[in-house]
Amino acid sequence: MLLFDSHLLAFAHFCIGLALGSVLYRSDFCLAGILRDVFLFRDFSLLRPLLLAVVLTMFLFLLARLVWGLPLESSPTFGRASLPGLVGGLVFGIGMVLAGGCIVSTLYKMGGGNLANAISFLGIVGGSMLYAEIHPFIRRVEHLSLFSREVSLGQTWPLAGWLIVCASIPLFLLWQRQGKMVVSAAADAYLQPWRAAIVLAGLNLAACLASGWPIGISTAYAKIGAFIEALLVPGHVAQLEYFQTSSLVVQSGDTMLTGGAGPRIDLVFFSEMPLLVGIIAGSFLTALYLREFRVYGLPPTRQGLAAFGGGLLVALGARLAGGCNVKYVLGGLPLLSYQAMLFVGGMVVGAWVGARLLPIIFFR
Amino acid sequence: MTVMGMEEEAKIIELNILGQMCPACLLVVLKEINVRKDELRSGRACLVIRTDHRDTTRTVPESARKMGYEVEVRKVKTYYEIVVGRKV
Repeated sequence: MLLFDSHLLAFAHFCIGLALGSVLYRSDFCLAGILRDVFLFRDFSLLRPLLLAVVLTMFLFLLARLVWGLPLESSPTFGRASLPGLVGGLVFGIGMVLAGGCIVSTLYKMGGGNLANAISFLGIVGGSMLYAEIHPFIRRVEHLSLFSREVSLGQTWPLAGWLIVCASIPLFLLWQRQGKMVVSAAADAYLQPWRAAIVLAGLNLAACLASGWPIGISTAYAKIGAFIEALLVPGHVAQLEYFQTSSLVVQSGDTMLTGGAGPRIDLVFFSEMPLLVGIIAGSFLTALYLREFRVYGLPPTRQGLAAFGGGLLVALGARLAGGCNVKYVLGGLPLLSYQAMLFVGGMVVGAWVGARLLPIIFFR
Repeated sequence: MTVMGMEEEAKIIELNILGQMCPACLLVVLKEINVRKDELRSGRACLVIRTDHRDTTRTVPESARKMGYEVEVRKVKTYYEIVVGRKV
């Protein structure tokens, strides 16, 4: 792990972000879109690669535990399951459908030149700032509604992960034989989603080896909001509990490292922020390379409003649950985290609600 | 102008969705195909969609082909042009 050198940690996360941005741009592997299209168009074709990403990540995490002794099931970024996790998933699910992307897909689409996603980005930053105002109340609810004593099923039942991986292999082989893992797209240098899924799993493992926990990024938005707010109303920021406390506490040798949403240089600044910048840069450079980068102007008003409102909900959902879909779907589910299961359950229902709302917002 | 090997000249209906957000692209296209279905089915017109959204080169052809239309995709400068024509 690179926790001993913050600049090296930042560089590693920036490189992971670059690769992630490029891969996501080429494959257009939008985690929000995959779930939304199931409900909106009954399109299940990208669910299979998503499942591959989850199971392959699970396998790599299990392997990392065996080979490097990485105790990922007790990762510092995952806590016990609580009601805000479920409600956060629901709000997040609605928001990501309205915003046209989740925390990560907003970044790679914005990097490719889409202004609608830039509006979503502003909404997510704004929503994170709003959340800071209600944080103390949400934490009280969280403490009163803790569902589980353990953080993950892996702690209770260590063999569960291996069983899931082994049981999934015949399914993937069957899908591959039936040609259901391949989709047809005419975009230049299109990367098949199943290949993107493999790269995502590999990058998540790389993030774990660099920091000790799976990819997470939503706190970076809150940090950007905190820096902006600290410039405008520093006295108010100093009074907000959310910006003064640490959500991440890690022991590295004799040193205790901390990180949070506050406007300061800390562990989140050296991990999530370079990841965020890397994703934007990766997709931007890929779009330039493919001669596709161009800003086509603002979207129609209804879409712009949906993007901003959806962004607000995405941020509120992520902050309620203490993370976004990338953290919980690509990191939490492979670790069999109870909070991830609650979040994903809420997010699926939220995506269904969002898919019902979207045509009304766009056309009526 | 002859499009996609059509024997007679087909009216071109242009649909510019450059810069629009996902999934508005597919929703807008499906709505347009539905509104123009008589012209498209008979071959009197073809729909030319301009999009910068890469996934639209997957979703629109897939949906239009399921409805039985002929589809062509080509890259033009920084965007993609998807031509949806008469029923096969």
